[in-house]
Amino acid sequence: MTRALRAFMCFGCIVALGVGSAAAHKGSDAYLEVQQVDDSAPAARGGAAVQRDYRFTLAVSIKDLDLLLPIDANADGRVTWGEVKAALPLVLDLLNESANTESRGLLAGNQATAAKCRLDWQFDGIDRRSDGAYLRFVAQARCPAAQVLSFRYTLFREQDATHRLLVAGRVAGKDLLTTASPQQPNSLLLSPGAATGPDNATTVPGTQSSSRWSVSRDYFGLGVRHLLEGYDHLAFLLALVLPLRLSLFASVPRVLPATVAHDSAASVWWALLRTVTAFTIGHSITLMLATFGWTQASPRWVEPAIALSIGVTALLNLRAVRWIRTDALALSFGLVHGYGFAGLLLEAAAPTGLLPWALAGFNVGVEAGQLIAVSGWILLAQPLVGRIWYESAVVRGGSVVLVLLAAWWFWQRIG
Amino acid sequence: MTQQSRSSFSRSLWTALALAAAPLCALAVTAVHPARDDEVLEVLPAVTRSRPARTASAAPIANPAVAAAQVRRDITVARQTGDTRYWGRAQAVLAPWWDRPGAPPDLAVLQATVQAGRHEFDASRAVLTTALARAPGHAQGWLNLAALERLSARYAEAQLACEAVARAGQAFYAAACRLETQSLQGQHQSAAQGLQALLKQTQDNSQRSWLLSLLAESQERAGSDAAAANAYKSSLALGPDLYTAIAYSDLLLRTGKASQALQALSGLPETDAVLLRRALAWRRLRDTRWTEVRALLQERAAELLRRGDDPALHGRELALTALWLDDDAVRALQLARRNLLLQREPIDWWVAVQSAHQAKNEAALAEIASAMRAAGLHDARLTPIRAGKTLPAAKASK
Repeated sequence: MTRALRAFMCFGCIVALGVGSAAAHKGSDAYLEVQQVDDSAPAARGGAAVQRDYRFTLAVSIKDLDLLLPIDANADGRVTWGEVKAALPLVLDLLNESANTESRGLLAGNQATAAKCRLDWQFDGIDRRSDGAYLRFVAQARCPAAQVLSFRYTLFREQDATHRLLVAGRVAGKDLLTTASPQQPNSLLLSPGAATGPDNATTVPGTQSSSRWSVSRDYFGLGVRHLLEGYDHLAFLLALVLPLRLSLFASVPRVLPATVAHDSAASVWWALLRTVTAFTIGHSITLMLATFGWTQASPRWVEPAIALSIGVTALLNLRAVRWIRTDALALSFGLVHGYGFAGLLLEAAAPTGLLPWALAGFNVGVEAGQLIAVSGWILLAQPLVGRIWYESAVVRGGSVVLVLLAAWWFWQRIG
Repeated sequence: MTQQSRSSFSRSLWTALALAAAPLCALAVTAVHPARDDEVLEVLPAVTRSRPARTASAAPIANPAVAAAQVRRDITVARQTGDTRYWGRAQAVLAPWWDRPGAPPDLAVLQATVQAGRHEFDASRAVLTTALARAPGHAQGWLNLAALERLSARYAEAQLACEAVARAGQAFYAAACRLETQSLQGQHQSAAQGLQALLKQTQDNSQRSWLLSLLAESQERAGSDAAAANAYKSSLALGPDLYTAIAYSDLLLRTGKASQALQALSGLPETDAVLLRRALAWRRLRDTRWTEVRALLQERAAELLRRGDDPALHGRELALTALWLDDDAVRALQLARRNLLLQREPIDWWVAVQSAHQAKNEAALAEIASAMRAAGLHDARLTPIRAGKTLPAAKASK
């Protein structure tokens, strides 16, 4: 009684067609596990991690692989361990081609970064699952954190209409659990890059106009995060604004130290604006030059130079040099910091066609980050600016700490 | 609108159930460490005869006849093994013609067969109806449609489709089609005589095996369990068939012969339907392995959800699992009633009636009985419960 339909093919072939309870196996699945190994890759730039390491594990059924490759070499319907071993080179080629991370429009000269993010599958063992034996493969990848990380899966696209890739894992601090079909036109989004996580398996933006916005937004987030997490940029900003008595309430401090005595409250805010803007102009110039590949700067000197810029600025707070204007200092050191940002943006590998959008988003993001940082400092400094010991404790004390920190970073970075 | 909200509700229900079962997924994978080169890791149900060229981007089969032959092979394997991936492969071969209005009728009928195999009955019926409007002489198409109508307990429509098989010149199949439908409508005696007569017309083993399985089912519905068991055995002796073997094991389980049921199930591919019955048999024999099988079935249900399949398409197995292995009659009834919206074969009514009975849900029992009467199904396995149900009701009315 479990069978309702068992009609025969009338025309010569004896195929009985059944509809019944027997069919309740699942269809053909492959299993992908993605684990982010570590988010703290060489943070030489002292900010957000620029590279992420991933470990990929893929299990594909022998039954399915045999559709494309002669795993069952002697065609006896029985797949032996020897046959599997012999077929492995072909299987690895197939997987590298049909199940791999996708790198789109990488910047010229960045093939090395792209290659590290590609998967080179290695055989890892055999699993038995509810519907048969699976070959298990592993691969490592090191991918730019800011780059949209996607996985292109086209295995069995033409051979099995209901094949699925079941994806699980943890990426960018979020659990990944999704199901993909090789039929779907878009790659599977594992990490949208920048600060956001893969909350949904949304499609990867291509180079349509709609994606300009998303690229700008992603890189805006990256810019904000990079500045706020980049302790060296924050330290430099702090060194610049420390001597400014930025009081929100008392228009004139009751006790004016000699160095700023001649400044009116308005001119303090004006000085802040000039200094921060000069820094922005400086780093925007080099960021743009480096991103478009017009000039190059090696992190080998940029990184120590950034540390040096912090030390020099803090030292000038301790002992002013009359002919050095703060805004000119911010502008010139801004040029150095710009190369630092650029290194990150280059490794983040923005899609070529969308580079101006990425750059714009990133720059605005850095500015927003600066604004947040300076606002935070202003609020924090409010209980202090009116104190008589502000100059001695906050400006001088803070600057001494910054000089020591900068010396330590400089030592580390030239090492 | 209500349909939609109902389905979204059932989705969330399923998701909740799957999440409850999720920890079991950890059991699903075991590592294998082959020691020798000649160790067999996998047995393929079908030897791959042709593989796509690795150079070209896998050109699909363009010739309808070649495609049809490949699809029939895939369908055969899907039926024999219960491995759903072969339905997906058949669909992939049919891709150039899938859902195309101008597809050759043969290929449209094959598409409908694949859809029916995946329990997408409504879609299958729609494709068949369209194809048959264009090719009214397609006997196989009408036979498939008749089967779908019987599955939905629409016996009058099934008879019309059987007539069309006769008009298409396939008298033998048309006769079997009519007799099976009549038997479901309660004409057990004449159906049995007709099937016996057809058996005398053919010496082909696979045809005889098929007719014997129809006879067995008819006799089971008539209440002649011993005759039915013999017919099942003869059918299986002439040609092994997964569906017939499962039906036979159901009869054995129903009549309290658990160890014989285990025998009937041995050697069958481990589909959910087979595992489910094996677990019930073990449970009745107090063999503790039944709990492992229950865990495996839960795991598989979670896997189905995980890959995005609609679990409602497997409502029959889910209801039987709840009734037989989980002793949860209330949930079994819920699942069985939903399943009746999808399919209405005798076993679908049976699991609903059994669940309602065990859950002591008189209202549901009455509702199912009345739906069954309206459909016109006559089945001895379902009447004792109906009688048991009407008796206290009659008493109460006095």
